[in-house]
Amino acid sequence: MSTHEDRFALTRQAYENAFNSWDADLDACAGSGASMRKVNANLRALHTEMLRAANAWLGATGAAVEDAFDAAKAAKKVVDDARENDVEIVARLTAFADLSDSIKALIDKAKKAPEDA
Amino acid sequence: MRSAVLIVGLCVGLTACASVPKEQAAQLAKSGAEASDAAALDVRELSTRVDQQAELMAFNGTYMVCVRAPDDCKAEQVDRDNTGEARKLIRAINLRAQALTALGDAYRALGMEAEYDAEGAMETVVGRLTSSVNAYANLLGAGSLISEPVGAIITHGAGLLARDRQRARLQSGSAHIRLAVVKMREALALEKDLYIGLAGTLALQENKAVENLYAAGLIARAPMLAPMAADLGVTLVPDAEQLLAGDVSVRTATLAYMRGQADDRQYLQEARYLAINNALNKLEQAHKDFELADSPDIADLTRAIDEVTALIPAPREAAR
Repeated sequence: MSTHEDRFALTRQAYENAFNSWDADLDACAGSGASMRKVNANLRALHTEMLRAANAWLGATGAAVEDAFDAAKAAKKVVDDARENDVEIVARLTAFADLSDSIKALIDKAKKAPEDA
Repeated sequence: MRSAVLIVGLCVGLTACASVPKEQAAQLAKSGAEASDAAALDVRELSTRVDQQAELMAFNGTYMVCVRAPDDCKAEQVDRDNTGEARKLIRAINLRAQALTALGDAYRALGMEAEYDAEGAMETVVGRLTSSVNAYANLLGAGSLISEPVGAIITHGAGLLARDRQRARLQSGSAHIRLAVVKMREALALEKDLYIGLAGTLALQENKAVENLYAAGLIARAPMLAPMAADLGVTLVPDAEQLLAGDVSVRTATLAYMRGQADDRQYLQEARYLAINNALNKLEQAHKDFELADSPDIADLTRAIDEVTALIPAPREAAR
């Protein structure tokens, strides 16, 4: 049973063979524009079949790439979230800032108290 | 003082001081981003070349008929079936490029984490707090509540907790990215022969277009011989272009040389995909070393990535 690799290799070879004999085939048309355009159409058709085989190949392996894509996105999210959600540091920094403000307030009160006395 | 108790409480849970491998993480992140971006560029270039094929076939087909039958010269149509399959292929190839770009973005995120100086941020804040508390205590005439050595321990202790967390984040990030690298390498390995085969076949119409432009006198011919002259250590004469225009023998010989050069570019493409696969292999090993707290072999990884970038051709814009 043929694989998508086999089919791509076959269609690619058929196209390349036709391409390599393109000039000779056109020369053989002895100046007939209609015949030469048929040669060109045949080459295009072989090119299309090669692209179709390539698409079938990528379609077959698409799931692996989707997995890789999803894994890479997930990895980035893990790193981003770990930083963003490391609330302990953020909470601590906030707590320290609050504490600093409280102390400053206490200092201000302490300075005022002797003046009131 | 309640505030002093709170601060001293930070001393609880002092752990053994372990350094954060920030430099290794940063190097790994930089190398990983370079490898991923180089591979993404290569894959994306392939989709651009697929996109141009239909027009090149139309140009070549029309020219080659018209030079043989000038009285029956008609413009070739672009084939719809062909463009339909080409568009599907472009989308599929671009998905691969996007996956590689996503991998590069994950590495850049890892690099940012490595650069985040959590310890420094903590020490700055705790240092300010220490000064504030002591200033208040001095105001009340109670002397410093937190002596400098204790303050340093407190600062050190708080910084240690942050370092532990950062080290854990870096290793977790590395582990997740490593899994993505393995999947990417496996996915590209499944398709490597397709990319190489496709790149070689696409070059056929590209090279034919150059030859047809050359035959029609629409491109300068002398520059085609420039690589040969450079390799031989000689210089083309100033009127080489005119000489080529008037001499069918040397013009035909130049064509033979151009075809040889085109073959070389095909082998270069194959070497590039093999180099990308090798770089991804090295990345996986570097991650494993990093997570085991061994120093990853960045020199070996850098050589693998240099091999990829050295094989990437100059941008097409520069060639025009």
